[in-house]
Amino acid sequence: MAFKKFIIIVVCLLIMGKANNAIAQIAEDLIVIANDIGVSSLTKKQVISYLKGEKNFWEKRKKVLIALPSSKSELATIVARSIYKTSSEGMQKYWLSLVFQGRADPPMFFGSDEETIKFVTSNKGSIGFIRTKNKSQAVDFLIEIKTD
Amino acid sequence: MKIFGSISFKIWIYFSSILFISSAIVIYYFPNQQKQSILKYRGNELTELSRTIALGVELSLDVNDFQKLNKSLGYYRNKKSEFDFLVVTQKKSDSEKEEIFSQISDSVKFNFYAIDTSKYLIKSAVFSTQIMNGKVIIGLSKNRVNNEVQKTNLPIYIALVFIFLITVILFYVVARNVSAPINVVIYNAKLLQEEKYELFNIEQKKSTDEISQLQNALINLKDSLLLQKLENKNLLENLEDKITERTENLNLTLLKLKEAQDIAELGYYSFYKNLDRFTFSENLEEKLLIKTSEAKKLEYLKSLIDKEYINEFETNFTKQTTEPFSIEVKTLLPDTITGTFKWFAINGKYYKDKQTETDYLSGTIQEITIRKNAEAELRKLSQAVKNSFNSIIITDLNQKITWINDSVLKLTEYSREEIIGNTPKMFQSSETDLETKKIIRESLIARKSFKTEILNVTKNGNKYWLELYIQPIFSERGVAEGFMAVEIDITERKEKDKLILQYISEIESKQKEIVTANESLEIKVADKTRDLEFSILQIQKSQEEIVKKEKMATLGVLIAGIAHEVNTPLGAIKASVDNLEHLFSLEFVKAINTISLDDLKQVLALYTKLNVLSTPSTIIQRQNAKNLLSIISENYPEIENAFVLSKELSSIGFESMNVDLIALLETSNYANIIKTVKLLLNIQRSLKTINEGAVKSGKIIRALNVYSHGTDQEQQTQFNLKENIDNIITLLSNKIKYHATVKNNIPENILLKGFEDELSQVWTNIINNALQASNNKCNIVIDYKNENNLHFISICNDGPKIPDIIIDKIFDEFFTTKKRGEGTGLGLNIVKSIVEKHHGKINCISNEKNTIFTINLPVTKI
Amino acid sequence: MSSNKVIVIIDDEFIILESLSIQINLILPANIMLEAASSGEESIQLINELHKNGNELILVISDFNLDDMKGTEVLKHSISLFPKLRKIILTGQADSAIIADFKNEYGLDAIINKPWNFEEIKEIILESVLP
Repeated sequence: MAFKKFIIIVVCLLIMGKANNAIAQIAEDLIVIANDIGVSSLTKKQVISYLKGEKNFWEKRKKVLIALPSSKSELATIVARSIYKTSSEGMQKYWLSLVFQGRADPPMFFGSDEETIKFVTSNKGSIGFIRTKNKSQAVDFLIEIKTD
Repeated sequence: MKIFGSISFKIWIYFSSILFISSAIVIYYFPNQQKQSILKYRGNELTELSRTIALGVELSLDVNDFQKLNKSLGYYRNKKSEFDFLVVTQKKSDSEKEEIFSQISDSVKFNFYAIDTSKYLIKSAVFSTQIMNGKVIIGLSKNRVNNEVQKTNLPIYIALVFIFLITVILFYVVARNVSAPINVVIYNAKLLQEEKYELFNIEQKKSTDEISQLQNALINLKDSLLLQKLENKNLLENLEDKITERTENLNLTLLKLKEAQDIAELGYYSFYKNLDRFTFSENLEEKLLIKTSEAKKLEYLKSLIDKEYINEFETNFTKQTTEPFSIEVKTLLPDTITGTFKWFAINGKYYKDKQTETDYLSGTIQEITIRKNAEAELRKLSQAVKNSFNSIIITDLNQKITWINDSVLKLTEYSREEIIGNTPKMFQSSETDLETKKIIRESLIARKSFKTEILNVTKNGNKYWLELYIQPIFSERGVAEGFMAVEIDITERKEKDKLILQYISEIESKQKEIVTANESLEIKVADKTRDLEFSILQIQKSQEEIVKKEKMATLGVLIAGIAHEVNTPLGAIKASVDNLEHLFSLEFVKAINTISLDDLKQVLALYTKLNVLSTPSTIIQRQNAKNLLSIISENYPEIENAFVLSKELSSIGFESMNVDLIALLETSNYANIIKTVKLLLNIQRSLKTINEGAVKSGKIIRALNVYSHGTDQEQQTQFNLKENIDNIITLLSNKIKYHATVKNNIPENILLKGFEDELSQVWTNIINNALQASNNKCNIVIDYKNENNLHFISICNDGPKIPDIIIDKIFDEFFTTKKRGEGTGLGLNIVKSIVEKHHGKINCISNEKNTIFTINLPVTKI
Repeated sequence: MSSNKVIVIIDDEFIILESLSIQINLILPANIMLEAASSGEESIQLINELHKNGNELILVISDFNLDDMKGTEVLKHSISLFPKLRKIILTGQADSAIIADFKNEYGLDAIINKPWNFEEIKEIILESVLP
């Protein structure tokens, strides 16, 4: 029940956020960080494309390393919804299927923002999500989200 | 069959069978065992792998660690050739159906639930997580295992076969070695049977085994047989010597007897009636051609004898009295060498054979042909003389008549008694010519043969004329014995001679009458001639009319063909003008209004490239459309109406996939571009058609004009020969164009002086004839040469030959080979008169290959 | 090829085929195909192939004097495959006994002389196109 409520609130925020803010977002309270991917901003569409394993390489043939929130993390649901349009379990199953088909290397799952930040900052070509409040810890790796 | 009974085969077959059976067991039994153990091993492997992967799935979903799973999947992929499929199934809850979550297999359409599980080795492992429960299933087709087994076993099989073959050969060799000595014994025993002692080839054997003993015994047998043979030989030789001596004496006696018989042409025979058997002496056998025992029978001898004498022969031979008989017989058939019949005198008498108590006939047969022939000759001669129609008188030296034939009696009307003893003077009359009598007298004294005519008189006073032949008769020694006179009655002939003289004088008088009749006839003929001349003039006039009609007919033939030739281009022109109107006023205006600048640029570029190509033929267009259709449906599946599109593309000149076409299809507006290009091309083609049509029809009209313009020429003009002939070819193009060819080799610069229209008729007629005769299928060549100040124009066609019997007549008036009413027969006749009017000559030669008309015209000073 | 309605024109003179094709295409409804052939032999092969592929031949316009045979022979063959076919003979010369005989035995929708008046042909085409 609490879970469901949480989702509704998030969705509302998302809608409102989209209406109020001039700058685009993936979701309320969510920012994207990445390490040396060749650009400093991405559209939402592009982010989804990379996160879904459709493109395995950045601009300069650098491998895409994906960092996702694990089922233990609070961000799991938001990321699953906004990127994969499904639940957290669905996100797991999506990647299971992809691994079986051999179409992409599987992502790393992390339980907290600290772990995510640690991974992204020390791996070139990686991309991940953290909460807005932890922005300062990864200030060199912030990615701006453009409108489509 | 002999082979199957021999010892060597019997030995060999037993051993080989055992070998064969054991090999078969090995080949069948062991591979099976192998397969089982391999399946077991692979099964274990499958189980392990599926468990590992299931574990990986659990880790991924429960702990969010996908790396291990990735690793084991990597392992599977590396070994992909050893497995057939990997399937992951999921089951939402206990009640719900199991369904496939993901699969890795060779074929995209693989359906795990649809396979025949008995053909596969399948192992699975279960995984259960909070998110998902299911199974990991790995499968391996049993065929793979079979193939593996076969591959491993192949060298073993080959080795086994090899060993098998060697062993079989070995056994065979051993068996042969055992049976060889036995065969030697058999062979030599046969030799002894056939007494071929010299070929005997066994040697004394020292060993004591059964076969050697047998061989030794055989050798002893051979020795004793040889000894026996030698003794027999000696005995025979002694006997032979004695017999030879006796035979020689006998032969001598026989020889002497034969000699005597040959001289007399006499042979002897004997005949046993109850056995119906003849025996003949040798010379008789030769004479009568007795060669077989069949010939020594009565029937055979009868068959040699002429029918007249058979009865006498048979009676005497079967009568069986003791009285001797003698007959003469003639052969039925003439002798093959001399061709004359033979005569034989047969004597015989019956005797009794004391030993056998049987009767036999014995006697001689002698050939008497020569005597018989002489007798026949004599008989013939005396008959001839006796019965001759002419009178024959034989006298002695004193002219006293000693013999006459019957005709004398008839002729002279005296009796035989009155004539014999008198001289021939008794027949002469008082009117007999004195001169003739003198000649007779003198020739007789001179003993010379002579001939004369004499008038005699019969007993009753009737006069008759004779042709008299008298010759002296000589004895064998050449001494004259008398005279012979042959007299032919020529009284009738003398009468006839008189009549002939009478006829001759009558004929002479008749001749005089005929001469006078002739003179009056000549006058009548002159009158008639005048009448004929008048009629000829009439005929000439009507001929001229017919000639004119012929000309018109020729013209008519040409016009019929031309009408068709002119209407066709006219039709194309009219349609094209129509089209241009439509294309410009409706389509072109529409296109200009709707097309964008970019598209226009493409249209013009494409049009520039395509309008230089000639329009492809209908067959090629369809072929191109087919090509394009297959290319487009394959590479551009999103294009819906590919069929119509490929037709359009081929009609504007595309043949296959090229750079332009690819660029065109990338443009989103390609349909419109194609439509506009097609529009421009159609406009251009319509214009081209109009031009072509105008040129074609103009050419024909011009040709017709030239032809008809000159029909009423009164004066000779100068004109170009090549053009003149080309004109005709154009006019006849309707007939030529389908299956014939005409080649005009006349040089450009030849000028003729004459009536152009008339000479046109000459070429028209000859060429038209050739086309008609060959059903418009011949090849015509027109050549030229200048020789002896003459133009030689030859028109040669390879159509059918003009038969030899009519070729001399083709230029004749009213001669035609066409059916009644179809041709006037004046065509070539007119041609000839036109050529001659121009002081030229025309001739025609024709053979199986070619027919050539040659026209020569004098070269006139221009 | 789908089951289409087809019109075939035949003439051994290319300028006729081309000008007539353009004329007919300008008024031809979209679902009708037009095919052309330039000899008797080619046209027979074409018609056989159309029949094999299940097309419906609704009209044949043929010149009378073809290189290798008479146009009436082509029509005879076509009728054996498509009995309800409409037929037009195009000719450059007046009268032929052969054409008259053919008309008596099999019927002809028109005998048209060259140069032709397109209205006559257009009428027959539009008639034949009606279902």
